[in-house]
Amino acid sequence: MSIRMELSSVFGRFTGNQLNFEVKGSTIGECVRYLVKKFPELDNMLLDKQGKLRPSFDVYLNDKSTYPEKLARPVKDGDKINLMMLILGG
Amino acid sequence: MLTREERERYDRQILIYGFGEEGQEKLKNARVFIAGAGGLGSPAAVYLAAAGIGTLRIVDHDTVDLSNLNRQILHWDENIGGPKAESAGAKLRRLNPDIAVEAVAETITADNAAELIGDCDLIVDAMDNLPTRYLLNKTAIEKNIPFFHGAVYGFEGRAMTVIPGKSACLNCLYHGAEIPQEKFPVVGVAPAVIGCIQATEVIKYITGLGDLLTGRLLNYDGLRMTFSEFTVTRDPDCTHCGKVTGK
Repeated sequence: MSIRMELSSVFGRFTGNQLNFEVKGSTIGECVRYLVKKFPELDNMLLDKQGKLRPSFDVYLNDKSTYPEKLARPVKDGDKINLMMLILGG
Repeated sequence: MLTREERERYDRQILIYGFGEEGQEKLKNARVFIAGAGGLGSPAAVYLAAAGIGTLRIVDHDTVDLSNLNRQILHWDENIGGPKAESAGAKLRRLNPDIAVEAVAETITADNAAELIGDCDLIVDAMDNLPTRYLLNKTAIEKNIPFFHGAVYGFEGRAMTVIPGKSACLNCLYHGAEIPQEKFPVVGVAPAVIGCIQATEVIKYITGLGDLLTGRLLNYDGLRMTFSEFTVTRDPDCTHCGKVTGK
């Protein structure tokens, strides 16, 4: 099972500048938690107390929006997940 | 009808296949609303003024601060402490004396947004906060005019074009998410890239050339030097555009 996860560059300071990962899980949520285990600093940043993705972040599967399921969206071998922070500067 | 001087000034873009004098006349007759004269609004306004947009209305309530000058290229040292709208207006008029620049030093609010935008043909979203971005998106949908979104952080930026009733809007993208406004890190070249993309989209829309950045969120990552795209579809339950059908 090979699922790729790409993080936007803003995550680099939490991951030692590594931004591309192979992750494991049957849903996007499981894949995110797999990543969080490797980088615990991301836990509180990404997920609220109920384990939901905080509104400051968004997740795309194979370059498409995952709304409204987001973390509940199932994934399969060969999928690509993009985890992005909402950016609002102007 | 273009003047002889206008034909000469815009000669290089008139030469573009499909552009011609007809395209230039469309730009001359256009009225563009730029919300914000900051990091994104500066490059967008500069290139729209240079391209010959007939009327640019640029709105910003803020004053120029020293810490703005790494990216807000319409403002210089001599403008520190003065209104950004005034500074922007003065530079744009010097860049292109043939166009009308309406510089407005006001805060965009729910009470005045529709009036400020008035009869402008489209909105360039060069704001720095989500509530005003949502407000402008909603107003664009109510007025049935396009909305050109851009945003930056660090070396990154994003852009998306909204055609009301036809493509996903900002609220379809963010679903009403509320994020506190904070001081954000940014290097000037990031809003330069995104502001120019917004200006490109505006020129394409007005002249009818090319394919717009609709239903696609463009993501620019300056550190990786990559551009990527994400498909964003209309949300039928969107509180801004869910009930709107395109003309």
